[in-house]
Formats: sequence, C-alpha cells, structure tokens
Amino acid sequence: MAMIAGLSDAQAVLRANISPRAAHIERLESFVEGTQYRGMPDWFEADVQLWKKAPCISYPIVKSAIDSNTDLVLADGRFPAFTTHPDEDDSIFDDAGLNTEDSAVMDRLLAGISKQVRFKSACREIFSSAQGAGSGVAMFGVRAEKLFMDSTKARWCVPTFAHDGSVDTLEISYPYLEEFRDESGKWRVSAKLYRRVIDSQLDTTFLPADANTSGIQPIWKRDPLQTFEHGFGFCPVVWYAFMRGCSAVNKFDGQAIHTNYLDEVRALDMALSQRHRAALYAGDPQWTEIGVEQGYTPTGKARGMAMPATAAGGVASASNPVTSGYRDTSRVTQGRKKSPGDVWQYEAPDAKVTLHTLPGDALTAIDNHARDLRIKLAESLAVVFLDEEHVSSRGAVLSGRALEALKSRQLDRCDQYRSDVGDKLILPSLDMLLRVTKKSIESGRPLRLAGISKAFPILKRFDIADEAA
Amino acid sequence: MWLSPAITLRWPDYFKPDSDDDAKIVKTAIDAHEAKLITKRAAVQKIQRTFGIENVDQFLLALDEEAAERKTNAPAFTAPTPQDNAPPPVALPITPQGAATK
Repeated sequence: MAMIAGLSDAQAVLRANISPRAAHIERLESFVEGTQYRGMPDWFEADVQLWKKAPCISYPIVKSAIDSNTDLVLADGRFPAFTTHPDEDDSIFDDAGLNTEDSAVMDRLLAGISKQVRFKSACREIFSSAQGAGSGVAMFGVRAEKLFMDSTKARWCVPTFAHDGSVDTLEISYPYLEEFRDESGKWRVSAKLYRRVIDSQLDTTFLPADANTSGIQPIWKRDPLQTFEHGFGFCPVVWYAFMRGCSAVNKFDGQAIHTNYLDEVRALDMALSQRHRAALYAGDPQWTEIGVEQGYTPTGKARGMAMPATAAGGVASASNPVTSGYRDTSRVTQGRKKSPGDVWQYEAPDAKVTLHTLPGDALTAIDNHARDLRIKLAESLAVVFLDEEHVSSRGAVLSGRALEALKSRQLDRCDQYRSDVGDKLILPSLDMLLRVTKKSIESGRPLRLAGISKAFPILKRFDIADEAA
Repeated sequence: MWLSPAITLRWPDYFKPDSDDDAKIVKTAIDAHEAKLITKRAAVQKIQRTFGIENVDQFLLALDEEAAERKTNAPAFTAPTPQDNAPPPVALPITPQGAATK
C-alpha cells in the first residue's frame, strides 16, 4: 500500500473531507481499537523525545471497560425482558390500552420480531459502539420479506431531528480510498465519497463521486440500483446518544466513556512501555570482566553457529539427509563455550568476572506507577476488573452476592446505563419495529412474521389517523 | 400520529444468586407469610425469580386450584374405631439368645 501511486495525494484529499466532528469521534474510537498512536515515531527510536514516541504497549483498558459494561447490561441472561403486560387489563382505563388477550398477542409479536432482527445482538453492538463513540445508530426496514435492524458508524452519520426528538433525516457520508488500475495497467489510488440519505419516504444511495481537496461537495447522482421508496411516512432510524445529559442544541452526540481520560490512557501506556523496555534492556543478564586482556577467552574457542542444509529442506532425518551447511565464521574468535563442563579460567590474578542481573525490586517503582494509573483509570471509567489474584484469594467460586459486592461501583453506573439504553435505544427500537411492521403490512409489502395476522388489527389502534379514518 | 404501545422492560439481577441465597429467600417468604406479616401474593412475588414464575396472578390461581384439588382427593373423615383407641404395641427387648422376654 505504501508504494501505490497517488497514495499521499489521496490521503490529503481524504483528510480534507473528514469533518472536525468525525475526526473527534475517530480519535475516540482509536482509543478503543488501540490504534491511537498510529503515525507517531517508534518507541525504540533513539533520537525522539520520550513524550513524542508511540508507546509500544497499547493496553486496551477502554475496550475492556466497554466489553465489561456491555456484558453486565445486555449479555444473555441480563438482557431485559419486554412485555405489554398480559396480566393487566389496560383497556379499562385507557381507550388505546390493551386487554389481557391483546397484550398476549403483542408479546408474541414482539418475541417474533426480536428473533427475526436479532434484536439482542443488534442492541449490544450499538450499545458498545455508543460507549466508544458517544453515539450509536439503528436503522430499520424490510428486506427479503423480513424485518431488519442495521447499524453503522455514528461518525459517518449526521441526523436531523423533528420537534418530538425523533429522527427526521439521516445522512451517511464518508470519504474512502479506492484502488484501481490506470490505462497503463498500473495500480493507483484515489479518494472517493460515499453518500446515503434516509428520510420519511426514501432511502437514497448516491453513486460514488470523486473527492477533492477543497472539500466542496460534488454534483450527486442517485444510484438507481440502491435507491428505493420505503414510504413509511417517518424516518426509520433511532439515534442513540449515549448518556447525553444536558448539552447544546446543536450537539446530538452523547458522551463516550473515556472522553475526558485520553491523557490518562496514554500515561498508562507510557508507564507500561517504560516497564517493558526496562525489562527487555536490563532483564538480559550481562557479563563484565575486569583485569582481563581484550579478546581473551577463558575457554577453548567455540564453534560458530551452523545451519545445516538438507536435501528436501526442513529438519534433517534419515530420508532427508544433510547435504551441506552454512557456518557463521564472523564471531569464532569472540565466542566462548558455555556449558557445565566448560569452566571459565583466568590467568590474571586480579581478574574479576561479574554477572549483572536485575534486582528483584528493579521495576517496582515503574510497576507501582502503572498499577496506580490503572486503578485511577478504572475508577474514572467506573469499572471493576476482577483480576485473577483478586478472585483466587476469595476462593475458586464467588457467589452472586459476593460478585455484586465486589463490583458495586460498576453496577451503580450500570444501573444508569440500563435506564439510558432502555429508554433511548431498546424501547424506541421496539416501537420503530412495530411501526415498520404495521406500515409494511398496510402497504401490501410482503412480510413473513409469525403472528402478524392476529396482531395487525391491534397495531392499527396505535395509529390515530387510522382510527379517525 | 403513532401512539407507542406501553412496553415495559424487566431487568434481571446482574448475578444469579446461588442455592444458599435462594434457600434464604424462600425461607424468608415462608416465615413472613406464616407469621401473617405479608400476604400470599407478596410471598409469591418474593420467590418469583427463584422459581421462574412469569405471572404471579396465574400462579396464585394455580396454587388455589391445587389446594382445592387436594381437599377434594383427601380421604373422608370416619369415626375412630375401638382399635384406633388401643395403645400402641410395646417393643420387647431382645435377649442375647434372640428370644423375646417380657
């Protein structure tokens, strides 16, 4: 890739077409993926200031925290059950309320929809990416006579919202590099733009266009093969701003869990990289000899390293004999034998031979520093990592109550995440799937879904316009 | 305009209690109900997760039906016979030789 023609120009064009918001989210995501130091000088580079180097260890603490939160909030066995309460007759006090029989039908429909769109894994995926990027997006529709629930990267998306907070339009656009052969057959690369717009009637994908350094948008042409009219009358998209809280009117993204801790993550990686380098450099025992003539060897000369060559290559055997070999003759004069039978003997009476090994506490200071940073980061991210030694000191198996006590800090935070993801992703997505189901059946679009014939009359009751008609 | 149906989420415990925890929950529910501190419904709600009871109302109905069935199938009450009032047989000690002595 580095040698391909036009790469540096194409990368410049690519960068010119990435918005500051997309660049910010991309940076946040790089801390999850462990690619945040890409492009910085190597850690073992000698002539670079320490702080300007890329740590050689990129500890995935943010990803671990996200995975742990997702496991606790939405893993199998922890995913919330959803119901319209077949045990309660809501029709008594609410005209649009469901009686017990209708609720049972709706619950069966919800179960069928959830299975068809792989609802749990889709929610897990969106919840995970929203923790790392600040936002997640869910798109719904009917494909091949089945409901679907898709997602894409939030940094590629720009939503607009209606007064009630629902998504009005969603634009997905991003620049990308495309390799191609020019007229002479040589591989080249250029920057292209992708664009797709979903609104209340259409899902429009445009033909890829050439990107330019000015960032000015090209004249877009619809791709007829990838454009279709869904005709729902609403934009089938749910925007999930993770733990958004209170923010400016033009801010529609949530807050990634590590937004304010990027420096601390880097500090931890630096500490771990320092420890790693110190262990490598000083961990290999080193001999020193004082009072010994330069080049003196206390044993017989050692043979240089030899690499036998075999008839068929690989390891020598009876059927694959050694035919020749390669011998390293460059270090024969400096090599010395090292084995239990080879005693090193010195003629000089004042010769002093020392083997320098790493003292037991040599890395303690940097190790403690790294541990301290990890603890502080875990506290900031409100995550509790149960290290092996932590668990084993309490016995092989921890009871549920013991685990709850140990992870109480994270569980308190996960209670907030449950409310957030429940109210802003799971319930709106279920609602959107019911709306898409209803509209699809209504418009005569084929949809294979168990229990839909019984549920359709009930679904119609939730559309006031239908009732008025 | 679309009126969203009322869907409720039920979040489970983060960690499943072990058998000891379950035993304590069941015992607490029984003790409190027997002491007439809580209703039967409250007791069932307390043990709902332990036994995977989905619908408390249906479960209470099923309990009542079972109780009624047991009552129906129980043997009818009959007056005690003179034999019923006889003292229970006394076990006789066994001698080393195996013969019973009085």
